[in-house]
Amino acid sequence: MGATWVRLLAFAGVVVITLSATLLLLAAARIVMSNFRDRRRAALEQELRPLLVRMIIDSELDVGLLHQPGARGETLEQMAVDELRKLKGEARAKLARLLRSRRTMVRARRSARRWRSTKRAGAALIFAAVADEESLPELQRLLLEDRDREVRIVATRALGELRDEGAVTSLVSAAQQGRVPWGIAKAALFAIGQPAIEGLKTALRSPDQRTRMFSADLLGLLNALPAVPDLLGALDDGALEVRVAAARALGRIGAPRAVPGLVACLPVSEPPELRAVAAEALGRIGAGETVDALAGLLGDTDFSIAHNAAQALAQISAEGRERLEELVARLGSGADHGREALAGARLRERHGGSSFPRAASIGSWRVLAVRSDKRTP
Amino acid sequence: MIAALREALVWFNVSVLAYFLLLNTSYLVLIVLAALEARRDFRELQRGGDRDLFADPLAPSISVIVPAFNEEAVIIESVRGLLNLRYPNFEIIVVDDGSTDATFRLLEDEFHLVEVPRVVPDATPTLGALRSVHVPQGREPITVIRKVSVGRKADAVNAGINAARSSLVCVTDADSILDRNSLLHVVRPFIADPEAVVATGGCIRVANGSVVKHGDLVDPRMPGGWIARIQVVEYLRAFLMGRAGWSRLGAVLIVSGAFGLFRRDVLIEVGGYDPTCSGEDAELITRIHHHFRRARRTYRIVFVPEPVCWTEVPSKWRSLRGQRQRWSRGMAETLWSHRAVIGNPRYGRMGLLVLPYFVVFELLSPIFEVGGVAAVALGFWVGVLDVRFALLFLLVAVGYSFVLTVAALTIEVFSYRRYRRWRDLGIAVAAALLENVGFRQVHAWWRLQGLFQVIRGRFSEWIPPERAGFSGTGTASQPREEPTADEDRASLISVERD
Repeated sequence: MGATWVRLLAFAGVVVITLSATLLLLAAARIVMSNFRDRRRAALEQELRPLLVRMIIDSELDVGLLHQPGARGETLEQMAVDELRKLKGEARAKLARLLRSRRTMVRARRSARRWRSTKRAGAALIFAAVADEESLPELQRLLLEDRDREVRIVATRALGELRDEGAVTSLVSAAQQGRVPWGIAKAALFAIGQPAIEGLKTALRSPDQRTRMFSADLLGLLNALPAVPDLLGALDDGALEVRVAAARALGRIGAPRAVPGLVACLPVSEPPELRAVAAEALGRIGAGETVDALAGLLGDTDFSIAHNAAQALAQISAEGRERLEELVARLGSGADHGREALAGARLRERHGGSSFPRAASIGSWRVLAVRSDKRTP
Repeated sequence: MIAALREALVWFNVSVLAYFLLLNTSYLVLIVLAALEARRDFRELQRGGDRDLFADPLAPSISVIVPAFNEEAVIIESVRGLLNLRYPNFEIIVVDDGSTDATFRLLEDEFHLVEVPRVVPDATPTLGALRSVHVPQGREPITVIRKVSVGRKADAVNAGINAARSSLVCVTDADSILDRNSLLHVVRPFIADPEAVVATGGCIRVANGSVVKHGDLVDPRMPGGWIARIQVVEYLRAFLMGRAGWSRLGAVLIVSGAFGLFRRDVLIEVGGYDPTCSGEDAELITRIHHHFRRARRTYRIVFVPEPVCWTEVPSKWRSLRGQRQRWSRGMAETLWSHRAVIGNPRYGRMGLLVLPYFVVFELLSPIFEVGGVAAVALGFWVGVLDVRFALLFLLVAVGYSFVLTVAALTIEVFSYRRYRRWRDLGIAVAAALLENVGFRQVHAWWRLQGLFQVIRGRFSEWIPPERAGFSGTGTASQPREEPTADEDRASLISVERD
């Protein structure tokens, strides 16, 4: 090998040794720094906690106490923001007022326009915690305009924490445009709770399939009784995933007026995913008039349909249980699902055990798998 | 003759050098990608991505599958540990794969099991017949399945997949410990992107030497022996650098058999684990890639660095040899099974980048490594060895390996920082140096043996890993009939690297 190679290798050796030493020094410095910071923060927190408690409970608190200098002030503010998430009612309102008096929101608004994404994300958390009249527009701006996906995600969660119905449209729109993952928008919409129902009913009529599917799912999770007519309409949607989500939602809501619509989803001509979810939903609603329809599904070749029908019969009513016992006795080995459902019901009765699963969770995923066939990587 | 030999040696040395350069460049890229991925993941954790998930009805239900064969030493502690997991909606399915010890009896006594007529569909193919299904009389969400063993972990996991009633399935080992928040973390990608994510995997770390209380690893510590200590840095490098880097590229090829979360419908669709493959976990992931890319469907397989699964690694040379030979065989079998993907543009980056990379830099690396050592000896004998060059090359190779490990340690320190003591970090640095003295060379030789075993179709007897049990009072497992890949296969990227 030539001298050039040797020189090159010697140079590479020096680089490697320097790099190793640098990385080791960096790691050591980081440990020292973070140990120091952790200890300092713990000491400050211990010192400031009584003041924070006073901020929450003391009605005659001298606001001047809040204006702590430097690191003490920052730690106190951070502790107060963290605490806000755990509080409700008057205590929360009071702490939020005190934070506003420290110009926390002014600083947060400034941070929300900084170049560093961590600052903008931190500001989003403060907007959600303090929740004043400017929080909603600021968070909506971050959600719809920020260039960083992580900041948009933090803003989405923060909008959920605000629990303001005004956020529904922007959350649906951001998810629809792919600015935030649907899963995260869904969690935020769920966190908004009942105020989101009207917006979700509107979203159920969106031309976008995914929007309709997630809206139907959410309406079920929110037990949105006023949305039952809309969900019944969605049972006839052109997209299978929307129909399945609507059937599941109707089961979760448990409204008896949904029974005819769900029974109409049971015939063999309907897709198996929809039939399985409809059977489960009927079990949840517990309507006695569906016993015949469900009994007819016991021998179905699709595991989820037969299983969910058996579980539904076992939990619907005494009539359903009797019918199931009769079918199990008559069908012999052809009623395995029925036997399992009865055994589970007996175990729950005798021992209060909940380990025996009821419905087979085919989940929305089986439907999504069907759907994603049509998409390309 | 000697002249021809000299010529051949020179050319071989040049090719080894070129291989070394290419390999190290790829590692550099992976380090950068891994650091970016760790930063992203850590920030998300700090911003409370899973804060409310514990009480969230949106959290999808998970069936945790625990295949168990003669696990009397650990089974109760393991199941108790799993019951303590922080997750709102999960069930545990223990598959007793024909244990000949007291595994089932211990479970039966501890949880007051009763036999039930549960219907288990043949959703994925299984070889060993199902014997019975048992559930507790109490409220613990446990199902115990007894089946006839065919000596394959994959078969037991498939039985568990069939019995699972949740839409997500988590596969773990009885001798592994999951962090209490691990399910909350590993499920995040499924919640964020439910349409595309089909599998996620967590980080595997070495449990040897750590303090375990009530099935929960409460104090991570460095193990006592150097064999296990070297494996600590191997695993750190493999997961924090290798898999995190590949995940950033959207090209995860292995989700560990010790801790992976899958969509159940996808597992069923691709036919579950392959019980005939020594490396069933890598084979499954490669098959998922193959299947989805062939059908041109959107999918994602994600590595999540923070959820940690602690596993007991071999602390004896003999069992380590068996494990590494098995990993090598598994990789060879997987790549052979999916050879149609390699170099095929239809499979995108899997066909053009990932699988070719694994062939060149993982499968063939022991040939270059062992060949390089042999060439040095031969060169010295025929007098063509430039000693100065050889020593410098050795220094750079060792130094570079050390840099990679230190980079992984730095990522660990800057992000998750599980090992808090200075002593543990000092031991890790020493292990990173020591592994270059003998361990790597022996390791390369074992992997080469594994490749020969695949070619000859003859496998050495499987050596069961020694089990101390988490409380240190357990007994060793009995050998199975056939080899399995029941310990995690730390990524081929760095465990099996040059």
